[in-house]
Amino acid sequence: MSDYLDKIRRLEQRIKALEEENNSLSNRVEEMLLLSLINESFESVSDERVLLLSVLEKISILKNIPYCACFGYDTKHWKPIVQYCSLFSKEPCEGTLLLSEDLAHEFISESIVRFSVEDRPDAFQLSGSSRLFIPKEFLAITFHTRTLKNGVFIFISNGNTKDPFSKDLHPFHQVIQIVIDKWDRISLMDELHELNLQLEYRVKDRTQQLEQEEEKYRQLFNLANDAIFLWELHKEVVLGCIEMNDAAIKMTGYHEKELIRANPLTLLDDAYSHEERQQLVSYFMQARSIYKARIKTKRGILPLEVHTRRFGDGDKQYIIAVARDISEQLAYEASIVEALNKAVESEKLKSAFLANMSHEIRTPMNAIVGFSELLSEDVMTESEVKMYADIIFKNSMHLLNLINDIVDYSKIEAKQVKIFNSAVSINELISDLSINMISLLHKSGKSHIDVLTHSPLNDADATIEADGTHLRQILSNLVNNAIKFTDKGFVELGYQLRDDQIEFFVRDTGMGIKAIDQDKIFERFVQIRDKDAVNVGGTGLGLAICSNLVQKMNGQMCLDSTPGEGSTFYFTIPYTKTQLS
Amino acid sequence: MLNKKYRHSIVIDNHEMVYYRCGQGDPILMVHGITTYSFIWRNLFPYLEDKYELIIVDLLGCGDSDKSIDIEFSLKNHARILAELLRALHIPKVHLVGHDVGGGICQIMAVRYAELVFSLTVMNTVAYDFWPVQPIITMRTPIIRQLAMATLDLGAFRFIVKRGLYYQARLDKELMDCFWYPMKTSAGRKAFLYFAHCLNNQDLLEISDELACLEMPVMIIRGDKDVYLSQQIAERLHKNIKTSMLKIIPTAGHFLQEDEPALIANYLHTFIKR
Repeated sequence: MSDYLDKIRRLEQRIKALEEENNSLSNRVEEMLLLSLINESFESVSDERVLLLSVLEKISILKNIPYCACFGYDTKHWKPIVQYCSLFSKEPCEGTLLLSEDLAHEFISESIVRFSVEDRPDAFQLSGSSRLFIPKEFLAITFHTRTLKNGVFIFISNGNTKDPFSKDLHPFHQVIQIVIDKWDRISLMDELHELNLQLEYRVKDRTQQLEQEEEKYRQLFNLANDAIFLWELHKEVVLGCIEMNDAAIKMTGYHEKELIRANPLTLLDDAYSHEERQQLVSYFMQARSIYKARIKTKRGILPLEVHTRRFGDGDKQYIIAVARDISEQLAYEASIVEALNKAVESEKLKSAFLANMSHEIRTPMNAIVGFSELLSEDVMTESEVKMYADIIFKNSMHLLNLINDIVDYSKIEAKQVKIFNSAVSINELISDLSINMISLLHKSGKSHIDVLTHSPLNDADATIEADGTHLRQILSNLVNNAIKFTDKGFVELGYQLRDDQIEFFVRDTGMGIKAIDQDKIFERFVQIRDKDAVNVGGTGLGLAICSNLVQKMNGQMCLDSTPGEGSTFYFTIPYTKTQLS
Repeated sequence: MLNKKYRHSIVIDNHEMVYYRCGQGDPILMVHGITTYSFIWRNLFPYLEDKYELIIVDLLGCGDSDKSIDIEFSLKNHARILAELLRALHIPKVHLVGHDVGGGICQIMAVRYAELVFSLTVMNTVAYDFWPVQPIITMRTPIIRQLAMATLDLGAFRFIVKRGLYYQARLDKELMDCFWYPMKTSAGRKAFLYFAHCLNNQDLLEISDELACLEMPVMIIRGDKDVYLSQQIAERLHKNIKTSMLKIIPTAGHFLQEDEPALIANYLHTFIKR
């Protein structure tokens, strides 16, 4: 019997030992499960309150601790951050635990506060009680995080169950450490998030700025008067024009698609020689260059000044080419050269004129002075006196004419000549002039030359609105010239109607003017002289004055002449019929 | 889940209780156990709704009923609350059907509120001092600890549910979602654990004598492959209660409504119509 009892006792001891072993294994399993669950639940948590509530609930459930809380010290007081009470219905359990001042102080000085509720019944108060929950042991473990200087985890066990707080608080510390790490991570994440937001804002701001900048450059690009091309290169081979502005399309007349496929070489003027083309391409391929080239456009050949800049690295490179249409510039340059030549020519003419004038003035002046001296001498017959006086008079008149011409031309140059229109009978004018012509021919000893007139309009239609004085001056001048240069044949004066213009003409059968000289004849200080020709005198200003006056009367003067056969000077003025006042 | 169109709620002892009511005929009150709620009856529903008036409850703290834990969730109190419900609904007498701890509640009702009960059917029920055996950690850790872990971890819960099924392949996402639904909220988890805390052998031990003297018809259904509750419970109940009949289903586990709903409905129908 005693053997049997002994056996039972041994078995009981064995069972007890196994139970204890089992218990310790169970505790380890629970702790591992708790840690695993806590870690798992952290994955999605992004708020420390949610984090704490989730952890405290798990500790409460798995460790069978009815009250679990986390408090934070806020300048003066300990305030609950999160509380979980498994046996209170109240959700959430805010304000359930009220700490005594002594206990609150202890949290500042001690890292672990642990006592039996029986020993310190006044240490705290729990509002909202349950008959299932009889506080037994109080455990507080302090902590701190990046954002919370003083914090405490509080656990209160239940008297109805076995003591859940083992002496070894390692599992609690382990859990708390995990929570603190996560808490710090959350606050760091929050900061990071804030920084990200700031960064995003700055990126957005910068992007907007860049977009504005780009828009500005895009506008500049498109509004530029110069054509801008962006060429893409691959291993020194031009792939095509990847971008061009509106001016490029307008300038070349090519469609965008045509330009994309184009090559700077193919655009060059076909007139370039092979060497010239190579030279231009080598300019184009340089890091930077400025050169002039002619290109083929839809509007024909266009001269350009091209500025290039090469950029990019490796195989892929770009050339930006800014091309300016210099056709106007070239034309301007040509006109300047022409003007310069004219100025040089003019200077020459002026010198010639001065030389000529000095001669022209000196000759009559010599005659006047010489014969005046002779007149002052005592011994002189009446006929001699008359002859000398005639010579003096003729030379004076010549000089006067010369001075008049110079004054007239000066007035024209100084723009002091004004046109005053009034009713002029051109038939009468032609008639007067023809009488003067006859007289002049007679005086010049050229009475054998016939005077012809041509007045096709009747008197009423031949009364026009014009500056009679200047018209007479022009025609007189032309007639005088004609008489001057004609030795035989006739001089004809007349007019004819051409649409809304009336065309006057003076035709002669004189020596004529060579084609090469015809353009120059209306310029100042020009007198056409053959070495064989007789010097007929004159200032060389007459035709220039006439031509200018005709222009002022809204007309144009021209010439038709064959050397040896004669010349016809024409000029037109507007035909505005009127009546004599 | 049961069809929402049959869903009603009533306030008893200041707590809102959700129940489903439908069909016509003799009334049957169906009481679920722990870890489940009204949804566990959904597969029996089509077999019974055209023959009986079904009243299917979510016990307080379970399903969609009030989760506050300021009321006792003991079997005794649940039995009292259900009796209150029947009175409030003016249902004079019902056939009681209970599963798991719901079976314990129905036993208390049959004894304490016999005037409200035509017949009693218990399936895989708790009784006397027999409680669920521990599936994971033996001896020291009570079932509550495992349930506690299960509330926090879908995997652990799935493990418990799977072991409770004979046809384990039937545990799909939809069924698991039904089980997991109350565990999604802190209040749901708290109420569930509080329910587990409140379970006390004493409630059933104190009615054991009266249970033996029941005169109403009693049917005891046992899923033969139930790993959580001992076969001894069914056998002892059958032995003690003279008016009882015992049905053992070889192809059913603890959640036998999931394994053999048609068979159970057939047993119920035959039993009630007898």
